Amino acid sequence: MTIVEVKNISYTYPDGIEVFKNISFKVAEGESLGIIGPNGAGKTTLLLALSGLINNSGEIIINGEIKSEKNINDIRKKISFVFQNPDDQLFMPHVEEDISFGLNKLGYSEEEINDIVKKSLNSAGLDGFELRSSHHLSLGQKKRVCLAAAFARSPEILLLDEPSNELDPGGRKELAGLIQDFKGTKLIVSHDLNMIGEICDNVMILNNSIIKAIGGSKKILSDKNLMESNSLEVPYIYR
Amino acid sequence: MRHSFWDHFSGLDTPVHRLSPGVKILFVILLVLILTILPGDYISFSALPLLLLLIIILIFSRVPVKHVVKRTLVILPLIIPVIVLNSIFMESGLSHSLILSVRSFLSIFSLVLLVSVTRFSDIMKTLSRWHFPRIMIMILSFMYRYFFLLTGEMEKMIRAVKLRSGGTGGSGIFKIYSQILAILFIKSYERAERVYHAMLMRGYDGNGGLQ
Ligand SMILES: Nc1ncnc2c1ncn2[C@@H]1O[C@H](COP(=O)(O)OP(=O)(O)OP(=O)(O)O)[C@@H](O)[C@H]1O
Ligand SMILES: [Mg+2]
Repeated sequence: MTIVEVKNISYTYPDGIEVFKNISFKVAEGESLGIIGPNGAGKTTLLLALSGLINNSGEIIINGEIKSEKNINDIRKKISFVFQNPDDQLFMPHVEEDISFGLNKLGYSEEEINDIVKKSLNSAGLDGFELRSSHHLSLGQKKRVCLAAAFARSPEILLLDEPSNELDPGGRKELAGLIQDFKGTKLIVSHDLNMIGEICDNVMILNNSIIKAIGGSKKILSDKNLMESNSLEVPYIYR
Repeated sequence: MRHSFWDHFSGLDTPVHRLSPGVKILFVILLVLILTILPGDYISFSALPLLLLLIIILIFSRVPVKHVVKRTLVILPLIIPVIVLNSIFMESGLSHSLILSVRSFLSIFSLVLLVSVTRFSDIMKTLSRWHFPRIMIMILSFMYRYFFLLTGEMEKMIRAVKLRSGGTGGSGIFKIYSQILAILFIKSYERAERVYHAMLMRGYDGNGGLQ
C-alpha cells in the first residue's frame, strides 16, 4: 500500500532558488527509501515539504489524505523528523524533557510518558540519560537522543536527515542498527552511501531540481555511470 | 568546546542540594525582595550578615565560592551603566550608587547560588507547579538551552578571528567584531526558524500551547 505519494511538486525559495520542479514519486508502507544527491540538491528541502514546513505547489498525499493547512497537524502526528543538526532539535534543557515534549498531546498519561521516555532511551542505547543536560552531550549522544525522541512518538513515517553525519565508524554502525530496527516507513537523506546501501530497499537520486533516478538500492548504487554523472560515488559495498 | 558551565555543580548531592526546590526558590525570591525594598540605611548594616548567610549556605553546598563569585561578576557589568548614570544624575549620587551595587551584587549572588544548588529542570518544574505562565517557563528553558550554544559559537568565531589575524588586535578589529555580532545575529535568526520547525513537528501550535 502506498503511504506517501508526491505528485508534481515544485518549490522555489523566496530568494529565487528553484529547488525542485515537478517531481513525483511514491513510497510504500514499510519501505525504506534512501534520498541521495550532491550538496544543495534539495534533499533537506524535500523533507521539509513532506512535513508541511514549507509551502510547495503540487500535491502531497500521506496515508490517503492530501496535505493541507487543515490536516497538517494530524499528518504531523504520524511523522517523526530527525533534523540534520541535533542542536536545532534538542531544544529543552534536559534529555527527559526533550523526549517527552509534546507526548501529552498524543493522548498519553503522565505515567505512560515516563514509561515511553525510558523505553525509547533504552532502544537508542541511552539507559539512564534522563537527567543529563542536552548541551553536555557528545555529538553521537545528541544524535541518539534525537532518534529516541523520534521513536517516542511511535511514528508511522520516520524522516531522517543525515543521521550518520560526523559519527565515528562505531557510532555510525550502531546508529544504522537502531534505524534498521525501526519497522515503519523510512525516508533517509544521507551522503553515507554505504549506510544507505545497507538499510534502504530503494534509492532516489535528486539533482538539478529533478529526480535523476529511482529504483532498487543495488541497481542504482552500483551503476557507476549514473552515480558519477550526479557527483556521487559507487559505495564500497558494491564495488 | 569550552563554555562556562553555569550549572556545573547543580548535580551535587549535599543537604543544600537535597532541599526542596520550592523552599530554595522562595528563599531567593524573599531575599531579592528584601534587597529591593529595604531602605538604604538598613542595607548598609544588613549587607554583611546577608553575605555571611549566603556564604555559609555556599559552604554547606560544597560549591566553590570562586565559582559563584566569578559568575556574579560576569553579570555585574550589565548593571554598571545603570549605577554610573545613577551616580551622575541623582543627588547624593555616590553613596546611593554604592548601595545600589550592594543590592545588585547580593541579588545576583543569591540567584547564581540558586542555580548552582538546584537542577534547572527542577526550578522549571516547581515554577510550573506554581502556575507560572507556560510561555515564560518555555522562554526561560530556551534561554538556558541556547545560552550555551550561542556563547560557544561566539567563542569559536572569536578564536577564528584571533588565529587569522595573528593573535594581535590591530586596527579594524572593531569592524571585525561588529561583523561577528551581525553574523551571530543572522545565525541565531536562522537557528530560531529551524528550532521552530522542530517544535512544530512535535505538536507545538505557536502560541505557547501544544496541539
Ligand atoms: N532558507 C533558505 N533560503 C534560501 N535558499 C535556501 C534555504 N535553504 C536552502 N536553500 C537553497 O536551496 C537549495 C537546496 O538546499 P537543501 O538544504 O535542501 O540541500 P541539501 O540537498 O539538503 O544539501 P546538503 O547535502 O548540503 O544538506 C540550495 O541551493 C540552498 O542553497
Ligand atoms: Mg541537507
